[in-house]
Amino acid sequence: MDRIGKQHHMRVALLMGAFLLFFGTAAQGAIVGEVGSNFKLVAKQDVVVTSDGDSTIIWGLAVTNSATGVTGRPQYPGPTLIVTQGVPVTITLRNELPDQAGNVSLVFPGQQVTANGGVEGLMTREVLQTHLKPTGAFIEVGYTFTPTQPGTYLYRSGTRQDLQVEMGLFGALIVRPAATPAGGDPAKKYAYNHVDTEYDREFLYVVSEMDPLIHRQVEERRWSSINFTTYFPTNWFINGRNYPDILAENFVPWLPTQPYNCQPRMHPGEKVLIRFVGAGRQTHPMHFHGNDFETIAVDGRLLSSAPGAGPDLAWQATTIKSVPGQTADLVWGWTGKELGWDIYGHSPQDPLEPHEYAPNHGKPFPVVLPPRDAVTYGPFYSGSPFLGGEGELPPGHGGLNAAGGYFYMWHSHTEKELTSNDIWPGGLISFMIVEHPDVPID
Amino acid sequence: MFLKKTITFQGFFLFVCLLTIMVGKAGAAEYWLQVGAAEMTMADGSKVPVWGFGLDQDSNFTTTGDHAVSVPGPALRVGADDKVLIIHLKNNLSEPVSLNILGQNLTNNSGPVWTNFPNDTETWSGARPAGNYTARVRSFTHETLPGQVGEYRWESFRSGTYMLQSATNPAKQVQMGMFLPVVKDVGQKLAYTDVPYDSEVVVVFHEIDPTIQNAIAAGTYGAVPGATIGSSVDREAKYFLMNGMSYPDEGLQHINGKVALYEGKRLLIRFINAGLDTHVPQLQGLYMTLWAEDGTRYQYPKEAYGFSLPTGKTVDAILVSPKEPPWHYPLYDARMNLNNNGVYPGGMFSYIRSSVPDHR
Repeated sequence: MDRIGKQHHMRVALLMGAFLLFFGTAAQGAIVGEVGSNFKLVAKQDVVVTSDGDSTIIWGLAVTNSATGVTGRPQYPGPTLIVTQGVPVTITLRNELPDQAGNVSLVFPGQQVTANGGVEGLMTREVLQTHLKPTGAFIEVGYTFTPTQPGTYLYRSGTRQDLQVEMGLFGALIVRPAATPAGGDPAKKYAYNHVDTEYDREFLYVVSEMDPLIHRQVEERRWSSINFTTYFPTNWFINGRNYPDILAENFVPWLPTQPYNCQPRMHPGEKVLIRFVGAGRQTHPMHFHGNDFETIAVDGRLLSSAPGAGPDLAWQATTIKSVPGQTADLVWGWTGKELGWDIYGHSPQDPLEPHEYAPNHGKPFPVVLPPRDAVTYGPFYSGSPFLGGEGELPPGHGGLNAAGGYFYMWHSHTEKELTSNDIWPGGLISFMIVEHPDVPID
Repeated sequence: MFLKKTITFQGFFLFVCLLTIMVGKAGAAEYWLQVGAAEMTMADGSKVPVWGFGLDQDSNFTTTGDHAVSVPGPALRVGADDKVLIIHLKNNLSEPVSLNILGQNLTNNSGPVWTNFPNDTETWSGARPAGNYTARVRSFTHETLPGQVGEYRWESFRSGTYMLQSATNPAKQVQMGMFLPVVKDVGQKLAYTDVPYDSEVVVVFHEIDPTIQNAIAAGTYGAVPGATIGSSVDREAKYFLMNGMSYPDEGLQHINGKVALYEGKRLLIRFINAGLDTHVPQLQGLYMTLWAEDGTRYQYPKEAYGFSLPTGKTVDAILVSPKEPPWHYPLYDARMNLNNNGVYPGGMFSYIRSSVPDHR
């Protein structure tokens, strides 16, 4: 069995140039979205593609650029709104949905919202439907609130909510703390106003589902046929994409209405914050391989035994149930601690890597690897069991793991949800990739 | 018998307060319940057969017409000083029934009751009949046969929010509507030792599949000759109810009654899921403090605007009035069961409201 020394890793790092050409770069440490306090959104109809090769009508929210006044294409889910605690937020909504789609509105669970304009609806004030040709105060509704607490939240349609959420009118709302918490380091990132909510990287999981039949009925304007008592979803989404589209970069041109990916990556020893949002109507048991996570907050409220105590009531688990309308913040980490062997293939005299779990240093890989052609390699195997390692791959292997990272599947454990309209693999599959410290992520 | 749902449920909230007076023996809460068939009118006007509980007003089971059967049944209160709950049950159905309160120990339980399934011609109580490996449990607790009166005693009743339900073929009888809330405080307007409240409301979630309920009422459900529906495995709910009502029923416009909740006043919401599906009660615009689950106080309360409420569970939450009346905030199922037989708007949608006091 070969050991892969430090020099080998350096060679891998040099290969990253080629790797990046294939996979591009994206900010991997922060969630992308619309940052600010004043948002202009327009509800419009468009199309998404699903990984079974289908395309489906959706109703999404498009962002109007406040400087240019230009409105882009709508997106599924709606834009992730990133705001700051204590700063008043205004979201102005217009309706460009097709005639008969009805009024439209937004609700923000957990926020005390003042709504202006439009007409009073069941849950909040609504923008009139387009065929009524609204003018003046009826043309848009402004939703104003001041987020009092940081955290992860969501918004949803408040009009014909069953249909409009199914069609795509929902999104995540992230409230960043107003200041560094007491005793905190201004150079570091915190999810809440407590030092124990520090994290290095954050990732968003907005989980939703679709029953294509309903989208077809909307497309064909068979409004009276729509019936949610027979709801039967066959497509499942993280951040608006299903696997494997989830892995592609943010904002790839071939997914113009599905801008957000879900591709967590990290270096060993980092703290990863998972902002988890149950956006649809079903529950999903999302299961995180590789290590336990800690749930530090639910519905944007820290799990604290007393004010200021921090997340001292955090609970540890490997599976979290997404609850419709609920959010949760999870913290996850990985060092290879309990593997019992050295993930870098060090000799005992080698120096430690950053955050390396010292008791495993220099411990040999515990099994003899079978010869290359005696086994079938998975597409994410680098050819080496060592982090950042490489090895000979059989002809025809995709070589999808050029940087020698460890892939941990983060997925729904309702296995039928790992499909896109009955095609496997699809749906609620994602991967955390633990990368060698020399592999650039940001 | 026709159940006038709207009338019944204007009184639903009041029952909690009124029934405290109706305790019988010292240290014991005692109720006389009748169980029978009724018809319930859905918000879209369609009628669905139900089986439910009604409170016998003069506690004698002899006067006719003095009990209105409702779904859910009347909310029963066990006084803070009452150690014992006694329920006398008159069975007006044509099949055996029994009672069980989830989380409470039925003291005089001689069940379960076994039968020679599917004939149901022979029964045994207690242990499985020796050597008989085909007998099946029909009831978890001792039965009250058709036309008879049974007694059910809980001699050390725990405080908290609970659900009483049928313990006989629950997949069928509970689905038909045989459930009701039972609450016990630890003191005057004191749900748990450190959880006081100023006013309260019970919110019971459940769903109805009219096809199944019609089959049950017609006797063509289950392992019977000529059955049209064998079981509830293909159940598809069409009506989604809170306290037996669905939007736009008047009673859901102010589900907590027409009361003034002044700023800082505490509303106790006792959530119960009597249905077969999980629901997610969500309060839009405010947070609640979740204090207890299944009648047991959490070691630490939780702040949330919503939570998962599976079948059979109870959750006690405190909502603190954010401002002087009037105000209202929607309370609904975040799983978006917002239709009546497929037609939006409908279903599990209500308002928690603080009303301007009526100075007549």
